[in-house]
Amino acid sequence: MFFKTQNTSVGYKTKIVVDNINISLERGKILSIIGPNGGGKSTIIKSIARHIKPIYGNIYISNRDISDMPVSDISKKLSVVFTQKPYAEKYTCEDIVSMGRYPYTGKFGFLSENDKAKVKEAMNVINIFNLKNKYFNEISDGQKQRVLLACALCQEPELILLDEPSTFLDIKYKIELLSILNDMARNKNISIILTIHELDLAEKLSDYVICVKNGCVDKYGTPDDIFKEDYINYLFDIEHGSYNSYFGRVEMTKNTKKPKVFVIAGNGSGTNVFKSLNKNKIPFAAGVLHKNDIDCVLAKYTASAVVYENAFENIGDDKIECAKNIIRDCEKVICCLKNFGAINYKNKELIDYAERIDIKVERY
Amino acid sequence: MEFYNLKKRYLFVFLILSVLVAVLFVANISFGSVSVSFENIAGILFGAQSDGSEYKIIWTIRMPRAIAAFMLGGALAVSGFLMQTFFHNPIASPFVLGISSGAELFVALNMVIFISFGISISSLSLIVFSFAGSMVCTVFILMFSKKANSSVLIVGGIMAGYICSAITDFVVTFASDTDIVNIHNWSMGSFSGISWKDVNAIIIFVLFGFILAFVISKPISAYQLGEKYAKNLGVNLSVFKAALIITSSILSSCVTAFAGPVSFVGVAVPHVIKSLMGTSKPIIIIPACFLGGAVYCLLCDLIARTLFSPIEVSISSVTAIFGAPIVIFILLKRKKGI
Repeated sequence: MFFKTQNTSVGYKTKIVVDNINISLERGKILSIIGPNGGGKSTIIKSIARHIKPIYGNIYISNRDISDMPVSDISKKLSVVFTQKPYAEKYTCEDIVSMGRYPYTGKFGFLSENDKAKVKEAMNVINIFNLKNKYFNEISDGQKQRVLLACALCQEPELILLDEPSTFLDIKYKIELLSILNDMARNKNISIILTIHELDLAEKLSDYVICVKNGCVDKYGTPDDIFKEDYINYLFDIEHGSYNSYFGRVEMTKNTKKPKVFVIAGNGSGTNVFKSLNKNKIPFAAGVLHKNDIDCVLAKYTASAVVYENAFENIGDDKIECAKNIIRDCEKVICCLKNFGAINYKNKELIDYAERIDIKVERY
Repeated sequence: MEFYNLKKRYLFVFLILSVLVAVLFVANISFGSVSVSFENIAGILFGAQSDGSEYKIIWTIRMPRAIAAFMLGGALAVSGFLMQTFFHNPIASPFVLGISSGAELFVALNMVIFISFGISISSLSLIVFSFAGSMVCTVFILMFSKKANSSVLIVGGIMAGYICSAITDFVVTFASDTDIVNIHNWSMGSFSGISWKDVNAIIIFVLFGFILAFVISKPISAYQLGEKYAKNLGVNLSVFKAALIITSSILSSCVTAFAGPVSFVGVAVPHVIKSLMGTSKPIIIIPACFLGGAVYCLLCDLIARTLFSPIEVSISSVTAIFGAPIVIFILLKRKKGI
């Protein structure tokens, strides 16, 4: 195993922050550390980066205990990108990236042709060649992040540690970060350990995930094991709102009051209506939806009541009756469907019913 | 900012600084209460003229003084650059952090004790005492810096400086020897009265410190990114930090030993040099700072000697007039404060 910890406990001086960490990671794999704030995610990163000593146990890279390795050896195997950006006065981005060659250059740090080629390559991989001559202090945080990544890549490490790399990044850079890290792992065979808050990114990016909660590693497994609704809700103590495991995203608190609006939807047509009703705190019900429908999944997290039919079945009369019962007490019906196909045909009956008992029908 | 060619820019700045050093050096040995013409200087320097009062003035007074201003100015600027790197603070310098004053106190003690026991004061003993004083103050500042943020560090340094200066004043006041007048002049800061013997010691120690600084320029560059990144890149932090502090102290204590406390060179020069060069790579900045500090001190000493000739102004008064505005400028430019 390339990277390994064995019953390792990390923390400050004598105070243990995270107990009993057992991680093993192969080359070229990505491990995410997730968990609530203050749980000790960064402490683990700091310990691997040797900024603090583990209290018990050891950390191994290629079967060597990192606390026995000389600093100059470690810097060729391991590089770190911290959340805190360096304040490097009057350094161009190229200078910063070149700094990654530090473990390889001679006494005075002059770059050889080979070093220069590596710097150029790293800047091309991360796509920051246009920043080459800009001063590091004058670029945006997202750009700084990428420059530091290039610097880390330039160091030609076998393992890269990233402490919350997605902080400060807008959506575009987040997506880019995702593909950069993925490339590093798959193409360059670099192992990556990162702490991350965005569960959706973590799920898509990682090969393994460890969950840190209440001073210990609560769970260690593949994303499929971890990103389950119940577990994530438990891990983060989510009581209001919930984690939607289908979409890997967090939904707002579901309104559980008696529905005022009934939404007829299907095939994704209701998504926006659900969202806006939920945001405006209007309790609503949705139906009749098929169990495999995307609207049904979403309604489950947002609507106070959902009437659904099994997948691929025609809507049954019992379901229609059930929907009618709800509509009777509603103030209005919103219909998101433009036309009703064969399976959805019965939903039309609901509109007729609403109009008959003088309930406003809105077409969306 | 885009640069056509950084190497050309570096060369250009080095060239300008070298020319300025040469011009100011000649000006320093030529101007004064007795002006010596350039032809005569050439004659004296290249051996065509070997006696007369002009020969004496130049060889025994102005030459060693100009060399001292050159070497000590360079030493101060490099030492300031090292301090700023160490504390990640643009206005840290031996003078601001009170390290010069610590050295001053020890040198004053050295003078008073040696005089009272009738021992003659050697250049070496001055340097040794000055270095000891710097180190005592540095250790104090280091302990302090662990518990304080950078603005508190600066204020603490200034206070430590005042305490040391006050004790120096006591020492000077209660020492009864008539030689005390010398100490008093020296404690105001001045390049006057430097002998060839002193110059030899200065050259040896400053060159040693300068070479040390140059040797650690690679880890300095990594350290400029911050301690965490330096460690990540493979810098052995404890060894490096000790080397940095000792180097800086050798350089600054050499200055204090012979010229007393000289203010603002350590802050102003590195800042101007970095702006001129457009980089803070130590391998460029260290030699450039040395030349820059030399230019600054040669110029200020020239002004101190000639402005109200034959009366001399203390060197710190002149360096402060040019240097203080630069410090204010640095503070205003930095959004974060000190």
